[in-house]
Amino acid sequence: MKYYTRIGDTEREYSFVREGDDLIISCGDKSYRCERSQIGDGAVFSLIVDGRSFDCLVEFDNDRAIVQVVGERVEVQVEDARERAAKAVSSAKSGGKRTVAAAMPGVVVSVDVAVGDVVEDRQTLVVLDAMKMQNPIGAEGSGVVAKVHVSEGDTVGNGDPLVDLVDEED
Amino acid sequence: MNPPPFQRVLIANRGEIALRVIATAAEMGIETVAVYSEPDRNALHVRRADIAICIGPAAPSASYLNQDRILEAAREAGADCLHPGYGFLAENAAFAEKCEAAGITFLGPSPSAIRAMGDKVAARRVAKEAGVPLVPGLDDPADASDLAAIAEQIGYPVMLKAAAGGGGKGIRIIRDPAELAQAADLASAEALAAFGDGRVYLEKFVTKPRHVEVQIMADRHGRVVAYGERECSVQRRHQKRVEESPCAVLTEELRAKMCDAACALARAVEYVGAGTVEFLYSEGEFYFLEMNTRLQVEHPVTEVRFGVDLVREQFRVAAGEPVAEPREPIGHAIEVRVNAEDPETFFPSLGTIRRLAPPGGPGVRLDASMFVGHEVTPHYDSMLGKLIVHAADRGQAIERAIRCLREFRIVGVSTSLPVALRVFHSAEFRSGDYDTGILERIDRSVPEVRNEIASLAAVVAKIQRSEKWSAGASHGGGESITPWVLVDRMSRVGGPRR
Repeated sequence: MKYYTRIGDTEREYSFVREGDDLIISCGDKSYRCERSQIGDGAVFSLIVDGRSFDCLVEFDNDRAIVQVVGERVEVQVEDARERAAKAVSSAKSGGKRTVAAAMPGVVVSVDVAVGDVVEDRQTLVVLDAMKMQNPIGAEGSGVVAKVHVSEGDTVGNGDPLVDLVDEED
Repeated sequence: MNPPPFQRVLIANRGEIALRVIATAAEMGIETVAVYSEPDRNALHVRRADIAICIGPAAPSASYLNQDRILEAAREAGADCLHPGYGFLAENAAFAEKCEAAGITFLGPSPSAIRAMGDKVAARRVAKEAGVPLVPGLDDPADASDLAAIAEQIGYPVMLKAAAGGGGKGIRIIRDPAELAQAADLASAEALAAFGDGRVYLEKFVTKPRHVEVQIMADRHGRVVAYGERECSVQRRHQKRVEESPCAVLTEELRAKMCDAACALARAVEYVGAGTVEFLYSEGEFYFLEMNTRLQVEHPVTEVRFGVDLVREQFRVAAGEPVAEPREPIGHAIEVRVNAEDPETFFPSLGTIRRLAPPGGPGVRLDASMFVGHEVTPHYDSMLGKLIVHAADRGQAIERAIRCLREFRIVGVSTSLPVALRVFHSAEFRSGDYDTGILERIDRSVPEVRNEIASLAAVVAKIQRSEKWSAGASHGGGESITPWVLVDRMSRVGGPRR
């Protein structure tokens, strides 16, 4: 089965075969011999790639993996071929509707878009005031604003919907 | 062993600084009283103190800034002294007065010294009288026509700003006399329109500004000592991120001058206790910025080099004991602030810390208030702690800091640690020749080779998960949810989240 990752705008496609306890993972013209050894409950594992040792911590939040390795903390979108197929089906059914939610409790300082607006990836939709800071909340991917759930001055909780986006029709 | 100078200290603060004070007090045999707001019930300072008193709800105005309630708690607990930490009430002269009136020793300077240094205009005047260099410029605003001669005297480039302005409004940088002639009239007209006051200030424009500060300690007998300097130029919007000591470019001669100036200023206001005099350093010159009449966040870099416990010194001098002569400093120290924030956007990151693996080994100190189960809330600032490293020289201290950042793991919130890693890897920081613009200039993106290993680690973890599900499903029996159903459910509850 194939696996896919995305970091920022960079997508990678992987396939693998097993050789004893090792995984031989291919990505483009690169190949890595990986040996994984689990520590405790499994979020932490020791990974030896072609003889080089990496101490990894990977936690999943749906299709998002938060990876801590070599002092970095990298968010990696990761899915296997089955998930990718399932997502394509459900996306087609919903017209690509997705909800941008508040990642923290706060007060809405401004709503920068209206229903029908075409927005670009990372364009600011709403500005939230939290922790004495103004936090612009951006779109994930481009789309069209289908619904605005909040208005200026509203108090929102963690996970509350802010704006619905749908795919732009061609 | 000497008897402790005080019986019981109330710490009018929270977070890592409250823990810092508790640590020294405990070692000195002084009982500790923590005060806390309702959401801080589980905070470490509450759990580590001998006595803990809830002083109100989350809003600082109702708790950590509630002077009457804090004094009431001090009386209730029988505290004979109070440590204000930094922030909150640390530089509030009226509160210091109230403490004294209540018979509780305030571990800080006198209310009059806090007042003198708290008023920026008054502080400048005191500094000038004490012979502390100020950024060359006009003392009083002038009319635009009188500026040419003064600018010549100060030397170009100069900065022109509206007398009534503030917050960077109406500021112009001027490089030569021809520019000045044009700009002065314009600036004056603009200032008149914007503020109803056409007078302008002229000041030397400081190129490549660095923030360098001197730690002082003063006793009640008029003796003031300086513990060298700290360089705090790695900052964003005046929020310091990385501090080091010594400053990589300061000469012995300038260091001595800077320390003398700081001590002179402290003497001028009959200062007692720990204080920091902040300077602007620019290409061989330094100018007074302001004095902070409290312990600073970054005090540990001084402590590790000088082998001194500044909190112990605060207790000692408050009890009337003389300050001790600082020893010769050893090696180089660097502090990294650990903030709960997105390393790319710098937005605060809220959540609960689920895992924590702090670095250890030689030359490492961690002053932190975080713990597994710690909830990072929007009520207070986002600092979780500070990592301090100490090594024989600057190069080794940088490598030690990098090593620690690679060991350090915090799960549950994003942190500023990867940004610090970028700073330590940058040629600009490593050269020592940097200024307050460094964070804006350095490339903060994760290097591609690091993304490559992170991506691979994610795939390895994912393969493990997917295979486990497949194995479970293929048994047929116990597993009632097939991966297909699970995937579909997840895609329904999922959706983009940030």
